[in-house]
Amino acid sequence: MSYHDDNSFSDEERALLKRYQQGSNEMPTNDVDKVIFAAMHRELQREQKIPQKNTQNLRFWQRLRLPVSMLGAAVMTFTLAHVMWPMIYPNSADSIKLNDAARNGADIALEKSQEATAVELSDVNELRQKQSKTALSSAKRTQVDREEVFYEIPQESDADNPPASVPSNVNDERDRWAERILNLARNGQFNEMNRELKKFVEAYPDYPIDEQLQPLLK
Amino acid sequence: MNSISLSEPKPISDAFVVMEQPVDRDSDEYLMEAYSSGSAVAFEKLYARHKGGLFRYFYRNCSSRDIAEELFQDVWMKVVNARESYQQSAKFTTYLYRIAHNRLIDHYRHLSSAQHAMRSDADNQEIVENHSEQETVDRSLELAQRDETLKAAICALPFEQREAILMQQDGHLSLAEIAEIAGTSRETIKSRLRYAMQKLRDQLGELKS
Repeated sequence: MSYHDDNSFSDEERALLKRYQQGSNEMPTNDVDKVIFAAMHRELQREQKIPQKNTQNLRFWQRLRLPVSMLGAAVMTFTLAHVMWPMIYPNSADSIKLNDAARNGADIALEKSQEATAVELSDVNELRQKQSKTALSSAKRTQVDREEVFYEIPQESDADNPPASVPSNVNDERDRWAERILNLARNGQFNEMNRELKKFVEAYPDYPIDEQLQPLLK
Repeated sequence: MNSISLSEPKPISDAFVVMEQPVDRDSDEYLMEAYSSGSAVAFEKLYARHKGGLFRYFYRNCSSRDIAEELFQDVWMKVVNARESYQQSAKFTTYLYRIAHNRLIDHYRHLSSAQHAMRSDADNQEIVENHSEQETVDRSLELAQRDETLKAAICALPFEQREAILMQQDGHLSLAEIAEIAGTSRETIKSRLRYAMQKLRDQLGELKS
């Protein structure tokens, strides 16, 4: 009665239960014990067999069939792409050649355009250097003579003026300056004309202003 | 029992006392954990400890050795296969007899006889009466027959009373554990036991007289 947690039984009942426990001794047969123990050992061995199954019990082909099949699929794909494809679509090779030729032509045109751009840039740079020298000398001179400056000194660091527009601006200023000299000649203001002409020739020695002035002076 | 109580934390010294409590290597729970870890010896020890009580639980409830062995084997197979999923949330005996209780209920349902579960009074009464006749025939076997008569009287009890007294006497479960397995209260189990003992006394008193 040590497991009994209630003391409400009478002495007679306790004696009855004690007699029951003494006589209650039935057991299962040994066959049942063997079946249960066999199941228990199977259960314990089952987990030990699982890792062995993956490594040792597999045959050569079972272990290598996955990588071999993957390799075969890769080889077939390569063959289709490089051998079978031109046979199925013969024009695809010509189109590839044409594309290559077009690509070469585009490359050549691009190289030429790059060379032309480089030449233009070198000309622009030379011209800009020349103008800067001329403008600097003119500015100095106008400052000494306290005379009016008719054009602005070109600034190389001016970010607002793009390099491509510099030659046209220079030509415009030159033309306007030449036109003003011609107007002075037409109006008979020869002293003024001579001063401007001298400056102009120094700034633009190659400009044919003499040929334009000759008819007016005559 | 399941209510949450906000108690003050135990002092560190008490915690060390709890931690230093030695593990009972002979307890059912420890043996089951050892079996879960792969120890066959632990299972054999556990089986030897509980096979008698569990078998008698089925034998008294079925009155057939073959059926009792079949149900008994099913229960232990479940324990064997629950090796990986077993988690100690209660006493092992509670765990074992809950499986047994559910298996027995399934067996009764399978037979489609709630009467079979509650029967006892009809079939086993014959056993009790036969024993009483035998007792009168041979006085030398009185003691042995008295034991058999007592077993037969237990078999004659209603199912709920019979199960309660078998779990207590053969399974060595407490009232609370029996109540947990049967899904009822401790007081209900207590009254079932009281009624069972009353019936046993009545039957055995009639036999004596």
